[in-house]
Amino acid sequence: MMNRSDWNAVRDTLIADDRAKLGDPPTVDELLAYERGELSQEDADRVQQLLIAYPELARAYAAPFPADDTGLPADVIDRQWNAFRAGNRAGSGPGARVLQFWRAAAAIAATVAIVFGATLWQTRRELLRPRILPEAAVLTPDGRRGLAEQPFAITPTGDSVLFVVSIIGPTDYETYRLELIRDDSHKLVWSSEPLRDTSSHSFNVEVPSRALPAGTYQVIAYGLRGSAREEVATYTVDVRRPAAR
Amino acid sequence: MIVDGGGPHDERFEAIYRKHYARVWRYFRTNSISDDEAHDLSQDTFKRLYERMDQIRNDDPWPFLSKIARTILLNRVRARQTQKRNAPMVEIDDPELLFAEPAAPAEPDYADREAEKARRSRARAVMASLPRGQRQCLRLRIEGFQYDEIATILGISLDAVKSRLRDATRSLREQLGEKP
Repeated sequence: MMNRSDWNAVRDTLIADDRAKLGDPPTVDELLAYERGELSQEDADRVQQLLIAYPELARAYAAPFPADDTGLPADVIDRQWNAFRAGNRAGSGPGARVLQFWRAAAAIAATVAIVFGATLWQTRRELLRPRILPEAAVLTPDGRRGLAEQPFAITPTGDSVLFVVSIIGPTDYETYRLELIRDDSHKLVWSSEPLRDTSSHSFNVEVPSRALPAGTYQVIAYGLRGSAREEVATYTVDVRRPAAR
Repeated sequence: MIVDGGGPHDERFEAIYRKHYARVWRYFRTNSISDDEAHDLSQDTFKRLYERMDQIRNDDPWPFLSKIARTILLNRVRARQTQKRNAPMVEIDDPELLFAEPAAPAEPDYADREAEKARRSRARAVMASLPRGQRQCLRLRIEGFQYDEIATILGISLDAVKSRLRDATRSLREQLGEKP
C-alpha cells in the first residue's frame, strides 16, 4: 500500500530525473512567450516539462494577483514611499538618473570652463614671459651672394626660425610687403601687412618651424607705392630636415 | 523629478505607488517571499514602473505594473532554482556534517526496505505508462496544485484537467489498487 512518504519519494525521483535530463529552468522570456502561445510546439512541450520539473517556478507562474489593493497600513506605505524617494536621492533610482544627466552636463561644462581658463592663463603667461629668439638667419637677396650663388640653407632645430630680411636696393617706397612662398608648388605660405621701413632697412620675421616643412622657399620683398607694387628682392632659402638622432 | 517631488508626472506616479503598493507586496508575500524581501521586490517593481511611465498608454497602470511584478517574481524564483542546481555538492562523510546531523531513525529491516523499493518502483512505472497529458496533470496534482493552477500551467481548460485527472486516477487504482 503506497503511503504519503512513498508518493513524495516518487515525486522527488521524477523531479531529479527530469532536471538531469532537461537542464536549467526556462528563462522568464521563454515562460512569457509560452504563455502568449508564441513558442513552437517543440519548445512549448519543453517549457511544459520544465515547469513540471521545477514546481516552485510553476507555482510562481500560475500565482494569481490579490484581488484588491488592501492589506498594508497607511504608515507602512508612507514609510516605503519615503524610502523609495530616499533611494532616488542616494543616486540609485530613476529620478536620480534624470538628475545625474544634469549633473553630468554641469560637470562637462565645468571641465570645459576649467580647461579653457587654464589654456588662456597659460597663453597669457607665455606672452608675458621673456624668451630667447632663435639664431637669426640673415638673408641676402638672390644675385647678391657672390659667385657661389647657393640658396641659403637652414635646419630648424627649435620651435621657430628667425629670418632677417635685409632690403638691399631702392629704399624709397612708402611701405614694403613680404611674402613667403614654397618654391616647388608656388604656394603662398605667408604674406605680411604693409611694413614701414626700419632704420636698419631690414625686417625680422619669426616663422614657426612647423610652417616650414623641408623644401625650398622664397621670401619676396615688394615695395609699395600707392596702389603700385614692385618686386624689390627675392631670397631663396633651403629648409632641411634635422638629422635623426 | 521625484527627488524634488515636482511635476504632474511625479504626482501621478506617487498616486499609483500609494494605490497599488500593498497589492504588489501581498503578491510577493503569497508566493513564499519573506516580509523584508517582499518590500525589496515591491520597490524594484515600482522603480521599473517609473522608468517606463511613458509606456503606459491608458489610465489604468495595473496591467503594466502586474506584468513587471510577475517578471520580477519569476526571475527571482528562477534564480533560486538555478542556484540550487549549481550548488556545490558536499562529501557525505564530511565530519562536520556527521557531528551536526541528528541521529538517524532506526532502519527498517531488509524485507521492509525491499517492499518499499518495489512499491515506489511500481508507482513510477505506472506513472510512466500514463498518457503524457494525464501524467503531467498527475505530477502537478501530487505537488499540491489546484485544478485552476494546473490549467494555467499546462495551458488547457479546467474541464480538460478534471478529465485527465479522473482518467489518471482510475488507471492508478486499477494498476496499483489505490490512488495517490
